[in-house]
Amino acid sequence: MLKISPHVVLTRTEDAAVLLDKKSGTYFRINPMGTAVFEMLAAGRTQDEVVSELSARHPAAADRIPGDVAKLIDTMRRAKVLV
Amino acid sequence: MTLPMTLEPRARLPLRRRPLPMLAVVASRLLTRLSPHALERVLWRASGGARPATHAEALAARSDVVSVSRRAAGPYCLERSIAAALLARMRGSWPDWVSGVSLMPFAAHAWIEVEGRAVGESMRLDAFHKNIVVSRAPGTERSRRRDEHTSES
Repeated sequence: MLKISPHVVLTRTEDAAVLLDKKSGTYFRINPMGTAVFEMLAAGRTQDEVVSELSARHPAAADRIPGDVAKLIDTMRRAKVLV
Repeated sequence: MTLPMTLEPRARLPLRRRPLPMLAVVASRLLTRLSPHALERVLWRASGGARPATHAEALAARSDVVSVSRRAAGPYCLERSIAAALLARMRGSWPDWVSGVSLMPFAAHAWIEVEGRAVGESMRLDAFHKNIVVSRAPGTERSRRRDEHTSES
């Protein structure tokens, strides 16, 4: 189960987004794909569901998506965005 | 805080009116060392029992803080906004304390608000999105009688 830290706040606009970790006071820049993944995880979706959703949205990139999502999730874990 | 480095206009406070603002500034300087999460909790606790601040009360608190602290008059918006909120609280009221972020370009800022309107800010804050807001903790306002007989530390 991937859980977003309750201390992380997403701020987003049309073309940019940042996460604030209120525990550490750190801001993270997050790109559009990162934002999409963050929002799906926040809504309680699993890693597999995130991958299939993104693959459906971007069929041309479907072969890269599982690896990219795994890498992103790993980064989020290390940044303590995921707990 | 990546904001223009200008000193705010500062009125001179008479000596007898300086102790409370100075106390608020010292307290705020300590609180800026906390994580946003811990700061939010402390402010939320502090706000309990206060009445909602009017725009005038909030502005007076902010001006008094700026007049006794060169740092608060400068780019230290976090220190200034916390001190202003605490000073208003010492006088019995609470404005909203707000942290916000602008994304393009990236900038973080903190300020106080009353009824959704930023207090004493010369800058336009349209580009800022709020990410933390500390409004008054729900709680009973202390009755006036008790206020007259108890002192808040």
